[in-house]
Amino acid sequence: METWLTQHFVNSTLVYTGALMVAAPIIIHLINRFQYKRVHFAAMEFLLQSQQTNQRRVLLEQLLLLLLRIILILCLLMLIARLILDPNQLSMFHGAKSHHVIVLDDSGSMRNAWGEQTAFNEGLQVIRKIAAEGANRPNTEKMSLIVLSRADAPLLLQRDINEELINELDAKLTNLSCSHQSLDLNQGLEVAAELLNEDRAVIKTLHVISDFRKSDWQEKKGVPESIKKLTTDDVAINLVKTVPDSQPNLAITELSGATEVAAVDVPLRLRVSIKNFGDQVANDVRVAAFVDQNKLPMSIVFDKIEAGSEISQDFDVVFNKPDLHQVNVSLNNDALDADNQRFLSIAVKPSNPVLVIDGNPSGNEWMYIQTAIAPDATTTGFAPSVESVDYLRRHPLDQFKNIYLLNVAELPLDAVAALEKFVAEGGGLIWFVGPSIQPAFYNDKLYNSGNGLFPAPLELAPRDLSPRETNTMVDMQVNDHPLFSVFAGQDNPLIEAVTISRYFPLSQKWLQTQAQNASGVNVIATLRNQAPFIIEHRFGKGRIITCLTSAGPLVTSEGEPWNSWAFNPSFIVFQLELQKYLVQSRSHDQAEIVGDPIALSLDASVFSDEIEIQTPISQGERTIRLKASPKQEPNASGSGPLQLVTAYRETDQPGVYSVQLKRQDQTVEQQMYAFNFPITESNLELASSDELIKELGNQSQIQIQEPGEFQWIQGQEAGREITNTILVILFLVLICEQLLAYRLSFHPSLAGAAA
Amino acid sequence: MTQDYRKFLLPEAISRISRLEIRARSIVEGFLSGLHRSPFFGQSVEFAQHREYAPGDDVRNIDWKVWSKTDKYYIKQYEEDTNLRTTLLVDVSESMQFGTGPLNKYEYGCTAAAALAYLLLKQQDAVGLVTFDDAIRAKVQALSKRNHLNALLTALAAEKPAKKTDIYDVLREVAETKSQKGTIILISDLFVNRESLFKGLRLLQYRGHDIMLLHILDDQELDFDYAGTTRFEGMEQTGELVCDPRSLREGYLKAMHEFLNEIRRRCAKNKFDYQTIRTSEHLDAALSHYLNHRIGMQQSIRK
Repeated sequence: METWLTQHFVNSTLVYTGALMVAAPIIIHLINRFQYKRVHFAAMEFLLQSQQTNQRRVLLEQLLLLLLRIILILCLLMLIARLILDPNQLSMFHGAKSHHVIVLDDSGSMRNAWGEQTAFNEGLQVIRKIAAEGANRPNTEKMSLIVLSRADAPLLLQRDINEELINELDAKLTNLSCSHQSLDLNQGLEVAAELLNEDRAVIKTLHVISDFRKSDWQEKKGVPESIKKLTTDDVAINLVKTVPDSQPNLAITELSGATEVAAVDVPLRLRVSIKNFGDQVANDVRVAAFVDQNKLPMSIVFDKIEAGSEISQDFDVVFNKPDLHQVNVSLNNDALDADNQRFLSIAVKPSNPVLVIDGNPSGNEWMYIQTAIAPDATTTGFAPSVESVDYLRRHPLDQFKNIYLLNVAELPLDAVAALEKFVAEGGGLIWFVGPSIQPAFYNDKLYNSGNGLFPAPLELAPRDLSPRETNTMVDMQVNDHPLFSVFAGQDNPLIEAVTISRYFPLSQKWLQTQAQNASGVNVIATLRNQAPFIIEHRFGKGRIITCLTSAGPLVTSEGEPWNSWAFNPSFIVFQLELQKYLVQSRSHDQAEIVGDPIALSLDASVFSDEIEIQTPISQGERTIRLKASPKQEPNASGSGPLQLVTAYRETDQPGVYSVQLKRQDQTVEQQMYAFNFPITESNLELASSDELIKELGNQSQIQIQEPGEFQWIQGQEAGREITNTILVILFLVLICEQLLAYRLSFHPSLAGAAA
Repeated sequence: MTQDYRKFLLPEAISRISRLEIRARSIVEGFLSGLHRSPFFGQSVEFAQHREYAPGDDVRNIDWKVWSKTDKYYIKQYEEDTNLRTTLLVDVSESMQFGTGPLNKYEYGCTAAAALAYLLLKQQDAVGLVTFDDAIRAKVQALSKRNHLNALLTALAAEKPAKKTDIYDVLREVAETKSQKGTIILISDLFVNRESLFKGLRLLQYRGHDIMLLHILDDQELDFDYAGTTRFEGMEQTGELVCDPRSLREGYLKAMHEFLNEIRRRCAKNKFDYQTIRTSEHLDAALSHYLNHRIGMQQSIRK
């Protein structure tokens, strides 16, 4: 009974008093019956007559009046004690044993600020209020708090809400700060679902405190599904919105460039993109750029960014010293500060070595390549070194960014192995064929049935491309590929001027049977006769570009050059683009997203297990020492090289983390990792309550609480509807009671008329 | 005792009646003693008409002059100049003791009776009095002496009513004793058996009496505006009832109106003069109403 009362009434203690009050009309009635005046009356005859005829009616009327008065008292009682019809959704804190599981979204978008308030602080306030309300009812309420960024370790686990907990909670919440990460609400919901399933509390309530952005809500279908599932398990769901309105937001969505090829004194072109997530045009957006915390004497100006659009601009940065540098760009503050900065770490080298292997030492094809990529060491930052095939077997290759193989007849098998290792680890490989090559060797060892360094088998002999008949035909037809983006557009005169006379065709048989199945093999340029010309494919982490003609203008026995490309300016552009394109595959991601761990796996023979990590300046530049643990890398032979493994997970703060690795010889190797705010969090468009309802279905168990309103915590929100109903009933009953009482009573003015 | 009955002669009421009497005298013929035309033929100086002799007529009245001319016996008839013989029948039963105003019904009835007696005596009419409840309690002979009033008032005041009204016996007794025709004024609340009441009254009328009913009722009996739970105790062993009077008011009033209507209807049918009088009304208003009503009564009775 007590349980029922506490579930159905906010002020359940008043119910007993109220129940006694119900007796009041009855008692008054009885007292009236027993406390009467005595009157000696003469005309009893008529009175008795009247009583006889009216007895039943009078009794009914009196009972009705009594009933109405009792209902009146009941209505008043319900108003004062605040009746709650459906305890699941209506009583927040009045269940016998109820368990409140709070899932607090602390993803990056909760940093959304307006005025003095942020979405996250609003959320904390809600939690405090829930706890405070729960403490008013000791021994009935339990609470669990799941912070989304640490969903696996709930902050509070099924704790009774009392003063002690409130103090503890207060301390915890004060220290709690909003993460920068993009988090999946589903994780929190899963943990919450587990907690709720374990629990046998009478009333289970799940409070989801979030900003409920459209992108979170509508693009991730799992969230509504999880919530719907919870409702079927009898869990009351309370979606607590913390952000009143969608706010415009500008975000830097990209800061990138060919950082792998960054070299001293060579201008590095970086691209910065800004997206306008608001619904209004942003004018005169200025982006400041910093190199190693020093502001560059320029700002990148975006005159106009249309609502919803993303605009990019390029800018050049020159580094004077070969070292690790960090570049960051920043915007003026807006609703979400965290996405107004973007970081990039760049390892600037004196130059980027490129290995050129020319199969024909007497030839001069290497010269064309060398001239193309490094006319002068300071202008492109590339340092080509030309070697013979033998070099591949004798020297380590990992110092090189890319390797050219020009007209190589055949390779020793250990050289093939070295090359395969190089490419598999992310190196770039460029094939140029020529008269010297042995197609049989290429098809057997290099193509290796699709598992090798060569993309496809070749025909046994080169083929001539018939001369052009009209000028409208183009020998080289490029596809839509990043490599050729500089040639994009119709009627490119540079490409048009290229003449290809001789090429190695791919095996006709392969083209007919296996070309479609060869995954990752991508023809990016074709010849006039639609024969493949330039092919890209992947090998391990690296990329391989195969060009089915010679690198230089090799002259055939007929005196015709294989091609005239090397004389064309587009050759130089292509080679430089090729360098940048190939190295990108090797670079570790330029933009790591906050929250991702820095995973280190070090060769134990080279490095010691002491690792120092320095956090970004914005996080106080703390230095953290990690101890890597040894781990045997299993390989085919059972025991591989010993690895030192560790991971640093506290990368919530956007910025550049520098890692110092100590080598066995006590020298120090430094690495930098730039962590950026996830772009997905920048879109602050909110899902309206209607949209939420649409997604979730209009279920009574799901309540959506508007931001800034806290009445629901005290159960008022829920009670209001009933209060209105009761008020209406009370009003109607009052009117009925008055009408009936008027009817049953004597009124002098009427009496005069009647007499 | 003197004080006691004097209270029925409220000076104000009587003086107002006196003024009314002056007015009446100038308008109504035979209103005062000696000027009343009797509705009956009798000993008088004023010739009324001739009538053929019939056996049994007084031989003294034969008009011999007419006989001498016509050889037929005619008798002379004269207007009878008589005193108005009025008998006041005052109900002094227990139910008359009910009253919520300054006067209860009994007091009011007695006052009205006294006022009428005074008025009639002043006109030198003969006034008799009978008080009754279940039987006749007191009887005063009709006399027209001025000092007769004392006797009347004494008879009124001496009564301490207690018993149930049983009207037929009373009326029959009155009819038997009052051989001389006159006016009978019944002052009562009429809470009696209607059948026996009208049977008795018809008997009186049959004996040649002029009947007048002054129906005295209390305001509460007519309006019944009691409030709050009340225990009603019947005054003449008519039972008791605890009720909320407001809820029964409608039915009560209906029953009461039916009662009044029945009385009124039957009075009209029997040519009884009837008037309901509230105890809150001024006595003079009631009496003036009575006096106005008396005008032209003779015509209706003379056959």
